[in-house]
Amino acid sequence: MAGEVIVQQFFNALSLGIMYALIAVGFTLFFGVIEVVNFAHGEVFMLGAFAAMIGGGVFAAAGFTPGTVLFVLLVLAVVLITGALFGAALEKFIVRPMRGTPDIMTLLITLGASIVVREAVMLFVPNGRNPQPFPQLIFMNSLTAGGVLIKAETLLCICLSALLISGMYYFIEKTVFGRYIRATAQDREAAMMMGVNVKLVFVVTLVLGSALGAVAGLMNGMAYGIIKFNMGFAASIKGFASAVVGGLGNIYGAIVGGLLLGFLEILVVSVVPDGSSYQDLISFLIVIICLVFRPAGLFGERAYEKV
Amino acid sequence: MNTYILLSELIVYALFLAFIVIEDPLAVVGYLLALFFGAVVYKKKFPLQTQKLSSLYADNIKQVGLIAALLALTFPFIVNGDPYWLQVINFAILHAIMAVGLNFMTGRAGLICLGYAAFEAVGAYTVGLLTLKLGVSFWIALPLSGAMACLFGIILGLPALRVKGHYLALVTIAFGLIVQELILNTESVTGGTNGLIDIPSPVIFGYDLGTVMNLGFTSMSYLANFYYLCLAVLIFSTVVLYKLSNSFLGLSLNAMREDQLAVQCYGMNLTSYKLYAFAISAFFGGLAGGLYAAMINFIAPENFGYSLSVIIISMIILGGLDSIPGALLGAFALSIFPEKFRAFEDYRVFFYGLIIVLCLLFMREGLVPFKRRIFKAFPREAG
Amino acid sequence: MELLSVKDLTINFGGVTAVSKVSFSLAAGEMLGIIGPNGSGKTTLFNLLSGIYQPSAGTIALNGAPIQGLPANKIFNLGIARTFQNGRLFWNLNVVENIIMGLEETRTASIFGAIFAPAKEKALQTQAITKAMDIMGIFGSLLLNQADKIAKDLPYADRRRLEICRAIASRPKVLLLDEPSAGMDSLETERLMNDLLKVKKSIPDLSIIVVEHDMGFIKGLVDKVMVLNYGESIAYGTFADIAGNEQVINAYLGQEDGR
Repeated sequence: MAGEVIVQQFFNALSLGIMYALIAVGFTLFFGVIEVVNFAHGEVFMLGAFAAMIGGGVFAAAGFTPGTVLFVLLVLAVVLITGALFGAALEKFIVRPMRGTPDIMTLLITLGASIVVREAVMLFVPNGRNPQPFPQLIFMNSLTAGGVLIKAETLLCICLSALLISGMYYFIEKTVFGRYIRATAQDREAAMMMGVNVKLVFVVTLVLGSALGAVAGLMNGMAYGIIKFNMGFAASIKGFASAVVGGLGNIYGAIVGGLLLGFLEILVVSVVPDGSSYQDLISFLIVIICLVFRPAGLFGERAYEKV
Repeated sequence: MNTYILLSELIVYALFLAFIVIEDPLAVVGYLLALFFGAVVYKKKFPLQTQKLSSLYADNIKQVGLIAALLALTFPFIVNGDPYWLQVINFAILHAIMAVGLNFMTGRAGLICLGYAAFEAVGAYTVGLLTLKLGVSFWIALPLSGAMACLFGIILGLPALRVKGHYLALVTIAFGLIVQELILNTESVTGGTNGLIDIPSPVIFGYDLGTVMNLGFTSMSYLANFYYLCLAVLIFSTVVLYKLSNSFLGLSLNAMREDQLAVQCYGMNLTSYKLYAFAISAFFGGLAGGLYAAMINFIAPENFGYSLSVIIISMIILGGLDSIPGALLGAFALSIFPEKFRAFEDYRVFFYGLIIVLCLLFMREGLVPFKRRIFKAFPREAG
Repeated sequence: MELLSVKDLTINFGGVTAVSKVSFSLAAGEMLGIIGPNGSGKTTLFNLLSGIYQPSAGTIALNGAPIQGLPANKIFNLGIARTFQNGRLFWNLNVVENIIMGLEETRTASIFGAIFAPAKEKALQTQAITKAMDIMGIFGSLLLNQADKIAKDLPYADRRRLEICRAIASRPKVLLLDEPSAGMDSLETERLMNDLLKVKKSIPDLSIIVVEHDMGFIKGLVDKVMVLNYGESIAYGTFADIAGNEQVINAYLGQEDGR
């Protein structure tokens, strides 16, 4: 019996961790390339979930059958597009006008933007103040093997995220444009002088990172079946924490950091009595410990300030 | 006494009272727009006079403060002891204490803090627990609330010392939430979600501040007592922070905001200066909390959440970072303005977020930019 | 007795040795030039001397006492002040305040003096302003006329002057100048040379180490020169000593086509 519980919790932790990783990749990309900590990144997570909910409703009303592959792909497309548009808008209206101002200003404005978006959803989505039921997108039986029960949604989410993250990794490490992104992250001015279109790199970075964040929101909706306008705040904290643990700017670190956080949370929840009330505190404690003892993250080299 | 200062302050006070009197939301918007454009046009048309007036204010800052304080004394009489407006203004004053306190850390020292409400919580629970459970006098508990917040500021400062900008934002958010969780989870002491009820009112020379203020010719709500108490603390806070800002400490913190590495290379011990900024800033948050507990008699953890921290930040951004008059103005404006739109209560936080975004995009220096430097060269003899 | 002596100073970043076994010594009032191509470790050497980086090996001694490994603020208080290659002034502070940040009053003033001893604080502030204005006087009225200007509004050359003022405000024993002529045209460079000569004349005991890219700038100023290449000192001596050194010609002069 204990073994089955462990396997089951393993899958829970994996799906939670990979969701954090999806958010953390965005944080780490923005920081590495644009040198911005985007506090509005949690809102794209929330918007992704809401886009899936609304899109799913619209498609179902338009005659598509929920549960089919086409339906799921359509919803996924809506989520990705929402995230991408949000990222592009953020770049144009928030990040770009603030270039050249002190860090603290950029940070505060993304914070302001996140409040505006969150409250706007609460105010302008019908009944937005209350939790919204998330529609069921797929109708597959849960897998049972030797007493272990795994929801099909969980498996789908894990596979989808793994696919997206590896796609992102491939894009950045292997393609020409990915090389531009890395060049910009390393030395913006040098990249500019070598003819890299840095403006475009910024846009693409925000679009890609935000699209991944939106998918994380979709996953959250599928996993828990309930979404709320303020779900982005906790998500952004967790995602940021994961990115910090892995070392801000390090994509590989963000993925490992996200998984680590997911597993630790599930571990505490299942081992410590009454652990679920401490679930949220864990990420903070980890971050603070990490920042104090390994400020550059688990995988970061010690940073030497440019003088 | 300078007549120009007196006159201009009287005009501002009258405009402020007019703002309070106007009830209709549309009229309020119209009034504010008229004021704003009036100010812009005046500045454009009479640049010389504007310049003169602002340097007059800057050169006679003590007189300006004194007149403002004296005018403020009349407020309860002017609203005729109306408990609603006294309540609103008292909250505005508490916000103002917090805004000038946070401004010292975030504006002057450049250390971002997104958990400032936690200091208010610490102060409030200090006064609440000491007076309610231990029967300590409020007048002893109030300074202790500041001291306790100071201590928490140092506790927050310790991990925060090793981190910069972005990370500091995260650590301070975490700090705010952890303090809230702590209060929730220590139910036997703090009452958890239920909070603390029946916190006693302060008593001074046998006079209970929680009773109606009876002056013979008129009587006013007990809130008038608290108005004067809060005002006194606000004046104290502003004066202390003004002096600190204009000292060597203020200069060093300003330099630290500009370049943390360079100040280290100029002999500054970054660790201790960051701790000073945290501790001093936290102290005033604690005082505001102590006053809050005594005035409302009831405190609960949800009163000191993340959104309060954000509201205080938006006040100092609106007023202008590193500007004490700006922080005061921002606090009063953003505390009173929403009262005019009670029908749109839900839009409140949305509005604060919008203020942050719009200010940073279009008015980065805020309403009252900090232009005057701390140290100025002496005028030199000709030749 | 040597004022500053550096022995086998080395630092590794990851696998890269940025400064390797550099040794030199400096007497009071002496001026040393450090030259070398880009990336030869000049600025890294300064970062080691000023305590921003901790050396992997080697010693730095000031008046015979070891100071390697101390944090930057302690090293400054012991008497080593520096400027920065890209000028790290406190941009939103005015000229007087920038210099006051270098004065000892700033660090010795009591933290809460403004509240508990206002008169003393006031006197200290007046004293600090007077001192700052005296220091500006080295450059005649150039800076004095702009004393209340915000640093970022200063013309480029005056920013450099202000940096030098801020550094000597603490009356250091050793002054480290990191590429003071960077970004200046030949006329400005010449004026800067005169300025440095003025500084030397007004504080005869001050030892100066100046990192430069530009041989010509250093030639007329320094007593000794050290040539760095790939983090190693390849020549050290008077100008006449190194002029014929083939390694130097290859490493440095040979590729000076850029400037």
